[in-house]
Amino acid sequence: MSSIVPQGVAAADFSNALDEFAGVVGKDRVYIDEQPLSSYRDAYSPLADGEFLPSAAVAPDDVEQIQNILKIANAYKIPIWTIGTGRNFAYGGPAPRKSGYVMLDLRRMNRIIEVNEKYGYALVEPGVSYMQLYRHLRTIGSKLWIDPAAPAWGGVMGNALEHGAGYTPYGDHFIMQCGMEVVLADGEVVRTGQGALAGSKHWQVTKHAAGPQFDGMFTQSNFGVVTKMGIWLMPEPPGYKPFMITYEREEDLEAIFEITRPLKVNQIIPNAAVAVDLLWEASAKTTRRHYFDGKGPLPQSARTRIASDLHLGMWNYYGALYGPPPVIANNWKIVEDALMSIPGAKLYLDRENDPAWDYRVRLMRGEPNMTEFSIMNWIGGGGHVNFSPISAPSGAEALAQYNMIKRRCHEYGFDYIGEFLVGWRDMHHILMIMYDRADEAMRKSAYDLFGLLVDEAAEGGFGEYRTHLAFMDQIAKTYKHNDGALWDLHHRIKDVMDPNGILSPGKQGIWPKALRETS
Amino acid sequence: MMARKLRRRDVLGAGALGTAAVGLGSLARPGPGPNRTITLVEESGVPESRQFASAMIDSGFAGEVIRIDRSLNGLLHELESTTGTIIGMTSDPAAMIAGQLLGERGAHARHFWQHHYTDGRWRHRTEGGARLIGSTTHAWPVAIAHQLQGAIGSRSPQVSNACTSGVCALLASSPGMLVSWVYEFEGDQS
Repeated sequence: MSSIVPQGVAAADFSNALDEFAGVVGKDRVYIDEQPLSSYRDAYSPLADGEFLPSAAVAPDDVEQIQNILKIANAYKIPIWTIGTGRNFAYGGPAPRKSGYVMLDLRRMNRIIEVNEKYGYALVEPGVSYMQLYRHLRTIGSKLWIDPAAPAWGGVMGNALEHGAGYTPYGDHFIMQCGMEVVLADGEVVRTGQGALAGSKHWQVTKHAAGPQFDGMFTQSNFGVVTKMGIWLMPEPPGYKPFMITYEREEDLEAIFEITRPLKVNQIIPNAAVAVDLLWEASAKTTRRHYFDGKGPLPQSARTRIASDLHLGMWNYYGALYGPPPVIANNWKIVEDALMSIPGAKLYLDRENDPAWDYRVRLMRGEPNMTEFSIMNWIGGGGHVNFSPISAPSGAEALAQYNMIKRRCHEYGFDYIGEFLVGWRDMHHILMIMYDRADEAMRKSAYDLFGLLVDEAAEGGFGEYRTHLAFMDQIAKTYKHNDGALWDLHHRIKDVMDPNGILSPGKQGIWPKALRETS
Repeated sequence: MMARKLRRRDVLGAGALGTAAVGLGSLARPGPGPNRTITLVEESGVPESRQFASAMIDSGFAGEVIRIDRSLNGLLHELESTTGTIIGMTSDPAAMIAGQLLGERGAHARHFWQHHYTDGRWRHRTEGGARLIGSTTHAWPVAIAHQLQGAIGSRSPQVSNACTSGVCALLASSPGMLVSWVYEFEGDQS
């Protein structure tokens, strides 16, 4: 049995609470032994092993059980940490923000409640994974696509709530969300949008209703437990044309995104256009040891050899066109003329025996897969933590971020492994800081590098859109406008909606009053 | 401290995912339990994993073999209902995924051995005798397969061990970091 007890909770009270949880969900759905609790560890944590471990876990099956669990948690002031599928790896996985929390594990709530072919949406519970929804759609003969995040086991709801992104035209998952059911800390059940209208058939077709829209406040937050969510699904298009273009020089990044911006803003390229650096791309096909077995960043000579051997560029650009073939043909001419204008660009419309091309092409047509985990083989035993600053879709901003971050990576002995994605008006930069989990010094360096990058990016005007548990407080503090007024607002809301501070304390740097001084 | 102990007796999500047997064969000789099913996971793109699986099969020890490709999708498809004992030598990411999937369904990690190529040598962290493994350079997955079979059959505590091979090259397409692992569903005799 785990020896951990939630901070500030008496052992006897904790024991009573566990008994009462068992009364709600059954003894078999309350986990306190080390073995089942070990599945809530962050396998890729940048912290020393043994941090962020839960004291127990409780796995409800429906909303009523959640209400009863919250009632008990309120009575004993037990902090609980909610997970849907718990696959948020690189950002903490299933682990809680602090050791001792009780996991509210919603994986059993994995029902696909509705698929609406006519209007193109699904209504799902928190435990539904991309692969599960994909299989379900294929089983029922649906012509709807999903938009998966790169790993197929991720949660449809969880990824949208974390502001995650995918690679089809429906890639901004929170934008494609429509309608939520939320259990508040006091147990009240609220439906957002048209779902608040009794008997409404339009909960998943419009986000709007009379009055304020609250959906956003239940994302990356700890104000409620989301138990149902609508997600729009893209109808299968009559045509699909994926492409890849390689660019020879690192400094081409600036031109790539100056050219991309009008193509994206005007929806000529409707999906997330992404420029992937050489090593991210190479890591799906080979390992670092095959080119260099030393410490520190890869020498330029090795990079050149990798690019030559694998027919890659310093940047490798992926996108796709969708729709009726004549429309694709028309838009392709515009895209090709623009993106091939950079000297040295090479176009690929197919690549044989290339797992990177294969998984990107699958993702851009909504087929979930797990290939991206193979990237961790790059250094062997690869742990990773993702640093994810946002910028405008500007070539100059992309190049500035790249140069700043690459320089710091090299100073700390890491390769730069990253990609830039352009959404509607934003650009996500994902730096994968990859380290050998067996190398304690390297893990510590990864942690230190991340912390430095947070502050330097903020000084440059770049904020993160998502982060690992270990850096939530630091990143919250970079949002400094008007003396941190935004996080003050979060805290004011938290104190009203969850006065006992039971829901995911510390999520995104939002702490209940009792823990704000000690966090 | 606790008034009573709670034990996990069920598996998360089993009801929804189904618990049908997957048609596994029985052990040909004594293993972890009488007529206990064994599933072997082979990562087909990894040469050491193929060697390991071949050695296991040649010894008559394995039931069904699950072969996964670089997409690693097979882990999601195949491990959601597998029961009994599950064995593999895979890349580290595949081992992590398998561990998550099996662990949350209630399987216990029985063995978790690491094989790391660095500075031109393989470094093995295993249990039991290390001499045979340390003295091999390219055939070490075969030695691991035999050693793991012994460890599975034994209920006595295993002693941790570490050893290093002689200088050798890394096989093409080897990830250079592998894990040989065994998960077991307690009380399951299917």
